[in-house]
Amino acid sequence: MGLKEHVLYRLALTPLMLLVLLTLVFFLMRVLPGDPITMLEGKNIPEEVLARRRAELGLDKPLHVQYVNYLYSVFVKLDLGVTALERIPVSYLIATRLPATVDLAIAASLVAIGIGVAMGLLSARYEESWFPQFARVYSSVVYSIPVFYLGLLLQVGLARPSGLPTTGRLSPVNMVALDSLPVRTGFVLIDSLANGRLDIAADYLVHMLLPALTLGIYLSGIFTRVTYLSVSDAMVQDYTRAARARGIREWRVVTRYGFRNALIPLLTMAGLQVAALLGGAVLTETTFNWEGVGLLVYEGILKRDYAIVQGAVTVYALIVALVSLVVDVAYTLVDPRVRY
Amino acid sequence: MSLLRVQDLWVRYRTRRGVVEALSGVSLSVEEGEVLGVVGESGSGKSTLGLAVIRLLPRSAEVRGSVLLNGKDLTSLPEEELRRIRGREVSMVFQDPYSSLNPVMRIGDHFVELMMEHGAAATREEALEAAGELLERLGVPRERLNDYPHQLSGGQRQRVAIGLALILKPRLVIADEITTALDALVERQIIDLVKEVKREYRTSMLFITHNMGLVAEVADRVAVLYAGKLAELGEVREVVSNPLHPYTEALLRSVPRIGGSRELRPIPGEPPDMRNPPPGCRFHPRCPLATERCRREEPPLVERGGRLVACHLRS
Repeated sequence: MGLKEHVLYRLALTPLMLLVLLTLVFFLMRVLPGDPITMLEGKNIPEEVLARRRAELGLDKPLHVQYVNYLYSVFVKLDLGVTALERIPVSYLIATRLPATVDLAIAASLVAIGIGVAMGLLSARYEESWFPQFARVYSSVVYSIPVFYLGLLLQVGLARPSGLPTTGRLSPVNMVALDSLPVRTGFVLIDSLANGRLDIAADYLVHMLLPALTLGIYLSGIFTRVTYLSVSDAMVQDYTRAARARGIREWRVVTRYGFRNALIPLLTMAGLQVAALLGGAVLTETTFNWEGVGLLVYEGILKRDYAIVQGAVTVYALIVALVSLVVDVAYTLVDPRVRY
Repeated sequence: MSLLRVQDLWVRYRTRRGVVEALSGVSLSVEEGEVLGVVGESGSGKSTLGLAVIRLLPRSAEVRGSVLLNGKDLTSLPEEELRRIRGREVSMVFQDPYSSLNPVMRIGDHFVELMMEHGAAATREEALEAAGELLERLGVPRERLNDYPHQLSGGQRQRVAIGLALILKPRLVIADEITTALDALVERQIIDLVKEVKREYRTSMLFITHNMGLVAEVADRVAVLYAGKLAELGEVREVVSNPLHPYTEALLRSVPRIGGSRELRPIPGEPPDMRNPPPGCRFHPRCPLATERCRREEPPLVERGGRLVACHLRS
């Protein structure tokens, strides 16, 4: 099987994975008590009003009919549906929110990989010192700490003394200014820079700092661990000893022999962490009122807005599938032995 | 002055299950242009000896004694100075060619890195040119420089490893069981290559093996190690034709020969547990000639007819 066939094969599997996921989410959401109308109006609205409004949303139909209708809409019409009350297309909502989540995910990944790789490499290089023990404790602590709690800690510990913003993506003034810019991609950084508004870009980065640190630190634990373990595993291989016997500098041995070979397990792990990244983003966005897809999902669950949650899950699933495909292709770059 | 002089070398490993004494006061030397064979069974300390010379023992190892290369004591040299000597003055070829090359680095890059690191080449092209030339002399096509290790056969990889050990023209090469992982045919080719290298480059070698037959072919002198101690040391021809130590004799009898009429006899028993070596002569539990004295008294290493031997019966 060539690389192309492999990619096509993986793509062909994606709809199947999506079907399983959507089925799960569809029924899970409906197991939750309440529906969009009772969540909005409370339980004390007249019986006939409730029935009428449920009929408007199609919620009076049998569950299996709703299920088939929804799948038909997603897989055949490629339509994610509309929100329950305002009747806004879900795809539009997600499209406007996605850039914020992508920005946060990228920034958090940079933090996680930066901290994780640095601490992992230092642990492997100075194996005999106190540092690996410290890194080990650090990893366990940040990995087991709840994301929203870590967010609150940073808000209290960092934002209060420094005056960093703890909520939103931009100051209100810049929010308005952004809307009036001629070039609009939805990515604040690109938009503000393309229009020469450095001040907005800076404001955005300052707002992003705490959410990115929160999510990044949370994920950095596992990166630290995996980097350390894979590098030290490579460091006891024969080729590493042979490199030392040739008088190769120790840092070079750690990076070119240790880290370069550790990239293979590290890449696998990074691919698997995308799901954790998106899940963590939901909690981070909620904590910092960061208006991305995660916040949308959170609100969608609270409002029992089925279409929003299902739509977001579809997008999440596509992202995870895409990333794991990219990881598969990246293997061929990292490991010369891998051929599809 | 000898090129390499190992003096009273002791190596102990601290393990969870006790202290293992891998080498107990070994002294030997390698002269300029000479190949010294080091033979012994698994656990005799022969690989420890090789690693101790180039100071690559694991950190759990305690080392006493001195290793003088050209008069410089490698055991007390600062790390950075030692690094500059490794690869350039003393290099090492390992047992398993399947794992001794970096799987994610091209063959050529191994050479480029090594030569640039030691300032032996100014540019990549210069390094690759020199590497290609050497590889061809060692029987590996120049085009292999562009390949990754997994694209080469075991024999080719070992030739590459030998090339890496030779390219900076070190004075001493430590060859640690370099044919053990290869099949018989390739082993033959590599041994022929070693003999050629010896002729052409006049490189001194510490040739470590468990195979007395290979030593007889390649080495000028041989040191027989048993349980971390020297049993016998002398000219290969004399040792092979007239072994003094019963262990050397047993080793020689355990080498198969094509068309040989001699009966092949394995050495009975097992090498001793080095956490608790036997008292007296360490070979006595397996020695057919052992006497009461061998069980009690450790035989000193004494000279006998230009040879060193540690045996009560033969000295």
